[in-house]
Amino acid sequence: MSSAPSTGTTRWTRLAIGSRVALNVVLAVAAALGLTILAGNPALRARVDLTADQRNRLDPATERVIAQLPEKVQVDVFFRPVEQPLTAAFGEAQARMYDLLLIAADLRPDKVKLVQHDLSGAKTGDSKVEQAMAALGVEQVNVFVVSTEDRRVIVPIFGEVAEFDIGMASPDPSRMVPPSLAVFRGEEALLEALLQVSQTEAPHVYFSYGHGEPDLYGDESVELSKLHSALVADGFRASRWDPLETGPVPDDAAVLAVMSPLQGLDPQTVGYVRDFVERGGSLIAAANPKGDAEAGGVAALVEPYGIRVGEGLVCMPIRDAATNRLTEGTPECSGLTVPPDTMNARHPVTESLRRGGRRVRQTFTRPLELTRAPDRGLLADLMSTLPGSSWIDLPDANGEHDWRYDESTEQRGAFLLAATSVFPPTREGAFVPKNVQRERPESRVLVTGSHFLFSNGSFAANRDFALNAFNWASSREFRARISPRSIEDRRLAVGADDSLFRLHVVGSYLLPLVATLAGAFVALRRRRIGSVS
Amino acid sequence: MNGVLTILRRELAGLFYSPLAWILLCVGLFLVGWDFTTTIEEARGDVVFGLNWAAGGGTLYWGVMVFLPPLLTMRMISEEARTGMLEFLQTAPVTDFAVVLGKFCAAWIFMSLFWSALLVYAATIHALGVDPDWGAVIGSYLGAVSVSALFCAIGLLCSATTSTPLLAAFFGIVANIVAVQLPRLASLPNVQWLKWGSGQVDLVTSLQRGYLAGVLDSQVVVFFCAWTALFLFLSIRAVEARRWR
Repeated sequence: MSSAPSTGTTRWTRLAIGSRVALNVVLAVAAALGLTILAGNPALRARVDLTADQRNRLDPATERVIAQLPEKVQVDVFFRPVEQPLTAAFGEAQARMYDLLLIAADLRPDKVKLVQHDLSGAKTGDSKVEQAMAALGVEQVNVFVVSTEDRRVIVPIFGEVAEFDIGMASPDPSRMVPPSLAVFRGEEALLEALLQVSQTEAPHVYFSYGHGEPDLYGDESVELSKLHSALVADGFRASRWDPLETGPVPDDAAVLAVMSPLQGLDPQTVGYVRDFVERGGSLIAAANPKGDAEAGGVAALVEPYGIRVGEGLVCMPIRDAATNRLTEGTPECSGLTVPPDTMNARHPVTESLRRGGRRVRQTFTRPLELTRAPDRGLLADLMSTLPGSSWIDLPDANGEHDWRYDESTEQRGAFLLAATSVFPPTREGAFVPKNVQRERPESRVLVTGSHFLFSNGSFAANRDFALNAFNWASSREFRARISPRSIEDRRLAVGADDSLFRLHVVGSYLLPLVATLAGAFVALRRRRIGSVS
Repeated sequence: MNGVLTILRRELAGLFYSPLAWILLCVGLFLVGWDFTTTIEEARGDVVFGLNWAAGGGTLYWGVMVFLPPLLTMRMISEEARTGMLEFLQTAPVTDFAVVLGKFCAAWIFMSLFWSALLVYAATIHALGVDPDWGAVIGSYLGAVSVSALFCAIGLLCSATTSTPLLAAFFGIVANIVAVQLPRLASLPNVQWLKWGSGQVDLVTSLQRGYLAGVLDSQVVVFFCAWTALFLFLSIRAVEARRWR
């Protein structure tokens, strides 16, 4: 009789306990899930890169650009293995690029969305992938596409991201050198693509024309076609400015470049340039190595802005390949390699180059000197030669150089090769150039000892400096170039010595053996203790 | 805390006095060591790749991770429940929390010791003249320790839910396989919530993007801590529920 109510109570009690347990479980799972989601919030998230080369961090410049993206960017990846013999090297480039994209997407999931399309194996002809490729205008694989609502940039791995050393084929396997990754510029390619899809109006750079300047579109080594292409790729518009044809500096000019004019600028043109600069425009000027002391030369043009262009050419002794001794007396002495240690670590133009350990090449350059800044202005040195490493080679009466240091007439020391001057506008009608984001009007002047810093011949080495200079002049410091990462190579000499054998002995045999011996020791000891007791 | 330490000491002694632990250690170390060295050989001496493979990139790593923790934890609660030892423990002046945490810590310490082989590999490579990226190596080790913690917690929960150790091991292995394979649900077409959900519990990607890449990422740390804590909490509840049976 008494069992019926007791069974009912037990059932309800069990149901209550069961419900409580279920609720506990649900709440615990929700708490774990909630914590995980919360931890993914960019504002609460912290990442510490433990690797020696900081390979899991994007360059601060890239991080800034991603943070300032006006809308979410989608990156579609279309990677597929390539045929031998490039399979391994190309795969390495793909993997490194994909890792970079992952870091970007991980860093700001609210700004970058990564979509990987599987093109491998049997899915090669997958219609969905083909549809995605068609929708994005992709005609070949091994590219990634950076796109927003209405803009799109397709970046191929080959050429844009990586360059390969094809190695050396040989019937003797021991002499064969497999293809390898020679250059990897993945982060720069990503940065350029992000900038291209996110920029609004492109700042316009005008290059003075008609006074014997190197041609903006010319392919010769002394001309500037590579600078032109790089500026366009970096989101600038670049054109010639012929004052005789068009008159004053155009209204849409953000930066004016006067690159080593052979003839002096006529007074009217000088007036146009001064009017533009002194009302808040930016000027990049390169002195003429052959001398431009006359009134309309670059030296006279930039002198009022606190930068003096000196006489002669900066030279360094070169190492003779045959004797390995430092020699003088050849024009090659004017070819300078500027080490990162002599670059200004705090100036936006050189900071990233110094940090990345990048060198800059300069040829036939005049020395510069900082004098007195314009009223409330600021002068800065950008880079110089190492103290005592160089001299100023002065021309003789005929204007010829002997490329030898003459103690009696020539000066040895560290010489300034590039400098900047920033000052508030000194003329009425101050303005902020079009498509330049400046809080208030400000004149910016950057001077180099010669235009060879920007010319085709040395552009591969100086690309970052050149783009930094134009980005700084147009107040886009946040776009300062980053340096390519070093290719990490930590390899055991497989086959060359017995390293792998030793590793095998330790990894495969020694550690398990130690575990076995320790186990046997414990078992014996236990048995002994057992038998004693 | 004293209760946790007492249980921990007892469990560690139990583990290292049993031949099973040494056999698992020996076999596991041989397999991981063999896989590591052959991978380095196949990768033409690439140390970074080899260490990455041994610490989470390779199949064998996940094989060891899936099998070893359940085999270690299978007896920890179920065997004691079967022999009546658990009942004795529950009447002793230690809490269920201390019982579960002590046992968990013992299994976790064993796994941490097992994965310290990665540090020995790196030290051997260093002795052979190639400097490994120690930051990345330590990151990989922390990753292995974190995954071990999660799988030990899952194993302990399985052990707490049954009185048969072999069944506990089986459940643990299945649960671990599910945990590793769960993100594959994301490949199901047009089920957005499933993709989102599986993304949130994707421990392989969390490991590979975080620790294995050499990054100490607060999101990944919280991920492993939260899910380990969840399974420990459920284990405590399961042990507690035995009182009601």
